Amino acid sequence: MFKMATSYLFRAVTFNTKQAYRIFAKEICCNQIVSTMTASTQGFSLIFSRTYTSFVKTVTADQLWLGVTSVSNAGRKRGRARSLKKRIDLNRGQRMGFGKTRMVFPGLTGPPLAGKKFLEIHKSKEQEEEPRPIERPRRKFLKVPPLLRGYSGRKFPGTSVGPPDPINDYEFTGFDSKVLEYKMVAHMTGNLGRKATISALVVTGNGAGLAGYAVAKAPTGKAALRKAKNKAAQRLQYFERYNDHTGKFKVLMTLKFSTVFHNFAVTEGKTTLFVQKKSKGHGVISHRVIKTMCEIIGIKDLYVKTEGRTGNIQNVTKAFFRGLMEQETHQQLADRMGLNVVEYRAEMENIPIPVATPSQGFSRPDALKEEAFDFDNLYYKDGRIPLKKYVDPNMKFKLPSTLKHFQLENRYRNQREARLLRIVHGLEPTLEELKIRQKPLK
Amino acid sequence: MAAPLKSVLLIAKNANLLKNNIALSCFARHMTCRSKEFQSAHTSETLSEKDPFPIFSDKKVQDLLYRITGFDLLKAAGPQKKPIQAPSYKLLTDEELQKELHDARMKLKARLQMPPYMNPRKRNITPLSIDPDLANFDSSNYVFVDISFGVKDRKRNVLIRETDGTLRIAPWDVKERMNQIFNPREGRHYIKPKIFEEQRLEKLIVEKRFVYILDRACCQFEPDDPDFVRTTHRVYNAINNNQEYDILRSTRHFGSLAFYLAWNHIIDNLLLDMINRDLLSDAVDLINLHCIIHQSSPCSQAISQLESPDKVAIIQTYIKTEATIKPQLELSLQAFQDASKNKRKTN
Repeated sequence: MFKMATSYLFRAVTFNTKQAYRIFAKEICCNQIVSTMTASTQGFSLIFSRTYTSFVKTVTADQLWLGVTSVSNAGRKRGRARSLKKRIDLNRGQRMGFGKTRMVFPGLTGPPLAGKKFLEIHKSKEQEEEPRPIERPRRKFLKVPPLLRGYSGRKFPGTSVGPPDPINDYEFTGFDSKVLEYKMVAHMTGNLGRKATISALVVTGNGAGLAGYAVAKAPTGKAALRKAKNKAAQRLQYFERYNDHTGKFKVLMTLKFSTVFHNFAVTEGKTTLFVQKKSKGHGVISHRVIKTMCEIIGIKDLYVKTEGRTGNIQNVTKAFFRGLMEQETHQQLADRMGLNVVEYRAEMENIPIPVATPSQGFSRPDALKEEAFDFDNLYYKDGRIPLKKYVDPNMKFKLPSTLKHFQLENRYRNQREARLLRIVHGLEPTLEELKIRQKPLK
Repeated sequence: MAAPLKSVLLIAKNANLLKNNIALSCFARHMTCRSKEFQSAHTSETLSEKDPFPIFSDKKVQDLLYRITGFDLLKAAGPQKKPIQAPSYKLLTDEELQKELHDARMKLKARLQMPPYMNPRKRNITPLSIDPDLANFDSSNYVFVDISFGVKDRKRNVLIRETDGTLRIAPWDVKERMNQIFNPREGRHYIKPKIFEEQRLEKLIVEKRFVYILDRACCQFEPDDPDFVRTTHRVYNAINNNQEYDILRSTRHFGSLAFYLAWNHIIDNLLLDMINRDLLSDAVDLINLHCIIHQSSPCSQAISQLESPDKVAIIQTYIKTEATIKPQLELSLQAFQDASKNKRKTN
């Protein structure tokens, strides 16, 4: 009897199976005995050590919460209670005695007797109510779609703050502004001591060559962003981009690239940018701030290597804007040299495409020696050009690790395409057929 | 002939090996009594239908077709699909630039070579020899392919010994598959791509990817393949209905398109397009092409009787004699004449 009762008890602790509950309900009349038994069985340490569970089951929920969230009085004075977690109601949305399967436990969630007959545990025959949705706490902030979020987390840099406010009747249609830097700065005053303000660097532009940037400070972030945005709108500069609107060569227009005219390097303070012209399809690969600026200005293909103080956002911005402004267009180059500027693109079969002719209408008579003209390195100052390290294109076949990989992969090299072709022509077995094939032969 | 489920390939590494075969001598006799050239083989087969190829390949017609195709260097060059590469630049004097442009033109001119305009070929079903002793020798057909060095694909000997002992010249599809195995060509698929199925073709035509379809067809098929003829005619019709001729200008397909339209008496829309674009000499060339193809037509005879065959007169004669959309053509021609008069006045 002793053993049986205890085992029933422990099975009942699992509490979920129908049968266990029934047994427990039958035995509940000898509840008294059970309680005395649990008290007296403490001596049977061998039995109970096996079923020992954590202390969590021995204390109440209130005690548990108190343990997690309490702060001593001394601590409370020091402000440790400030960041305390609030108590969460774990039973929210649940009703005691009503589960998903809608079982009725006579005597607990329903009447014990029907007439003079004891009822068994049964399923409720009542119409099922719609399950009430569990209430969730409301978000403090609206969820921002991933593409509209900034560089990191819920922070401003990288986010859009909309077009500048209209000036009188002029509306900035087609403009967008983006935050590049957003930080707290402080200074000391005699009266208030350390006084903090927000500093914001915003770039605004129409994605078609027109752009400006400005830094503004204000006591609140919102005001700082608005101020910076509107200030930037008053400092717009126009940048010529290669192949933006000059409809001289229709075919080049269809290529739809938009990049700088030439490679250049530009330094501002201790920040140096090495900007490289790139072809269509390359995309902008650069510091995230430069990428944002390119979106605003309307440059699609670019590579920028940043050197030095790349964390100094204001200097990076200044340098990039100055570098773009100081470019020499192809037309200017043609006029300066008195020669036709001719482009050769691989996608155009390397045919000569004259992109600029001298404004005077004819070129100078003497030809330029080919060695004397290195367009890639033409615009680096002081005769210093960036070091291009030689990268062995066959390196992957020379390293033993990658060589082994390629040797293993070699036999599968055409399999993917071949399989696709087989699928197209209906030669690949269907899933059902494959299943049949996998069965052993009889 | 039922397609063999599994065909056994027997490859004679040297033509001499095959020469001992009685079948080959029989085959050679067959070939000589037919014709050496595929074009002439073609003519003998299609007595009822006129063969366009001799007219198409005529030097005069070819020159004319090249003329109306036009040559825009930039359009002929691309843009092509290539791995991303930075452009390079040069500073050139006017002289150097002209030389470079000339070289580029010479280089790309070859791109405009037109695919031959031919009738679809017919099947040759007469057996070379029937050997009942060889019947049921094997469950598969035997295909014999001549892989001697230097044999052109179209002249390669491919024979089939069927399971019932019949020896015959392999049908074109088998021959082309064998060619693709022994002499694979880049871009040509062993199995006919699905793109040439009617429904998929329709899709691409709606997207106006005419040049793409025509290029693929040139790559995949021989010019007298029934599939090639069907595909190209389909595209030409679509272009003619939508009047999208300009897409094909400066490509290798414009000449074939014009020839197809002239061959089938439907040049009116193209003529209208040419007049509207002030390409009057092209319009005259087109009418001349029409006259060369249909020499007994009323237009051809009327033009030959003209006293002063200037451009406008030739076009007017065509409009009078054969045009189906007379009012539109007349209006366009009138507009062109007025515009040129105004130009002269302002000058």
